[in-house]
Amino acid sequence: MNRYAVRIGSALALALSFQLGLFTFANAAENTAYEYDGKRVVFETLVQRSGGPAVSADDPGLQQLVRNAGGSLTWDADNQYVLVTFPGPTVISFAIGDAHYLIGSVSHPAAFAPFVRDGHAFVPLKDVLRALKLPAFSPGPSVSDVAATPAPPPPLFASPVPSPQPEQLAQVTGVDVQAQAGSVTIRIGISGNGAYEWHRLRVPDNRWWIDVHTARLATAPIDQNGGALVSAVRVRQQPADTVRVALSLPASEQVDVSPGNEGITIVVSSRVVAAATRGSGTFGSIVTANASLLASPGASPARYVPANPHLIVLDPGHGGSDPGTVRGGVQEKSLTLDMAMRVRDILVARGWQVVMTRTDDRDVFAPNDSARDELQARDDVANSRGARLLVSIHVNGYVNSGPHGVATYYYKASDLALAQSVSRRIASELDMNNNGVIKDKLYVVNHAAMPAALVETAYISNPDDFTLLQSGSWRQKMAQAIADGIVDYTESN
Amino acid sequence: MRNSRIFFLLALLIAVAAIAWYISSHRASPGEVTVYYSKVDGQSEIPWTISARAQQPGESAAAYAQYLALYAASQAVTGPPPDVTAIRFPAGTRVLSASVDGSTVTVDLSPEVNHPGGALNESGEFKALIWTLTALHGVDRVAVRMAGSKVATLNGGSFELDEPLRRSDW
Repeated sequence: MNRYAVRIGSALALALSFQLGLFTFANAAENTAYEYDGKRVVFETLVQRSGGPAVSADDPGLQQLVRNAGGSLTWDADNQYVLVTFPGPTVISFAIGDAHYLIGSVSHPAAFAPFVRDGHAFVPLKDVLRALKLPAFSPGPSVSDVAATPAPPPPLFASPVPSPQPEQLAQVTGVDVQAQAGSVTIRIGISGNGAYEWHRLRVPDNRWWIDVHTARLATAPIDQNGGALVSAVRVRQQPADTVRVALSLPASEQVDVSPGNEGITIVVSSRVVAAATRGSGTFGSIVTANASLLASPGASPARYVPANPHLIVLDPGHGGSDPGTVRGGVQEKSLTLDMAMRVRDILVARGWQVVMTRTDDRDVFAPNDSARDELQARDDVANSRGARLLVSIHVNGYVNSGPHGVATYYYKASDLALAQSVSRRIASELDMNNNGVIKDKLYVVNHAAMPAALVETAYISNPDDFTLLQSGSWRQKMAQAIADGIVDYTESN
Repeated sequence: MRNSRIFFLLALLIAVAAIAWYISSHRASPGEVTVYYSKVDGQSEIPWTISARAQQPGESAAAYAQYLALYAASQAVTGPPPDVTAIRFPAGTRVLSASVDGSTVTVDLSPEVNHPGGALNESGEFKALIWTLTALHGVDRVAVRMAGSKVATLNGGSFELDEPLRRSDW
């Protein structure tokens, strides 16, 4: 009964909102066409807000506009960010709920805070245009006119992925195969941006292929021998604007995929790190990658090779049903989330891709779950994406007020350099007791496939540390030091 | 005559040796264990030696090893005297049992050990326990149970208890 009442109320409120012109869907092309520099794009998802029109990050017109400007636009639902990335890298970022946007690390006021509706992120159009240094948007008839005529439901979300136009297709320009001792490197040259997906069949088939989507093969079909590790490399144009590069592998060799600005590099080697059966990502001016890793029985530990070397995973400790250590009304889970988001903002402004295990107050696995399930879910975020590294942020607690200061924990040998880099930066940038780098068998660090570290930033149980933890400027300094330590590590490892 | 004297001396020597062996094997010898505690820096382990009861007449070596494991674990969990500054197990934590199987000691701790805290105290607590038990002759690994059950981690700092712990884990 209550549920129906809520639905009816929601419908009435929606209808009233339309009548009041709080937001409207624009469905007439003349209302939504945008012309600049002799080019014309049509925005198909405009929503009128009091501060101006909002446009979905999925909007084909907006996507085209950004591509024309040489950039790439992505909606990072995990982190509630809309990112416009340019080679360089320059990043324009809009955070959901924040009425500011960043160009690099410089904050600018936005007309209104970006918001999410039906899973789609909407950003202020005029701020996007301003950030892209394009002329302001001036629609034909007022968009509010549309409300006067019965508007059909917005049609465009039925196919959120726009059909590519021929000029939008990426071009596969060639394949270079280089055989070395113990490995074969295959470089797929691609101009433009797009997505890819790869698969492998298990023993005894051993076929491996990668599909480059929304792409055209700019050369004749290719058949090449790849030496002892790759018996054949075939490149073909497939239907549906897909280019397939298929490898015939004599055995179950390790295949690593690294997308980049100029295409995709595949390295086939005889070593075995883990058996993955599929993966996906994007190439071009924004690069992402992930792989579904399945533990390989008997696999020997080897140097970790990230599927996505540009991705950093941050783990704010605790959350949801688990407050962590508590003092008065201050909970560890809130402090860790605040600091992790600050670290994220700094890294994103520097052009890194960042995924957080949580972006709000929630359990990552499930409320009141076991510590193991919860911690493994956090590791899974990093492991499934093939991240470069994982940093978990915590607040320490003790039974008395004696212990104080920061400590950086590691466990695996591969974690040490990361922990040292972070600890060094904390020591140089914060005036506080530094307990240094400590080896400890912490689950989230031990079960991360990649280098990982856990920072216990301060003791909630110590009065002086507690004062620091409650200071926003101190948390910002801590976040800066952690981010600097991460970047230091990536520059030397 | 000469031969019978030699046989007599040999028999006497054997009898004396047998009596000596019997007396020594049934005499209570003083026992002791080395117990460690962790300093609050989270890095240093401080040993101290405490006396333990001796092996009792007729007590098997295995039973005495069980006793020593339980005694040493209890001492490590209790910690040093109150005036010593050390990382201590949460109040109320008790050793429910300790058993020895080959080179592994399995210690069952009461649930109070899973007290919310941070990495420092969890690491320090278990470092002291593992250092103490691996100081026992022939022991190099310690498996931890909580109220009879295997647990993956502690809740506070998420210290991992999935697998038996060794000194090399620190």
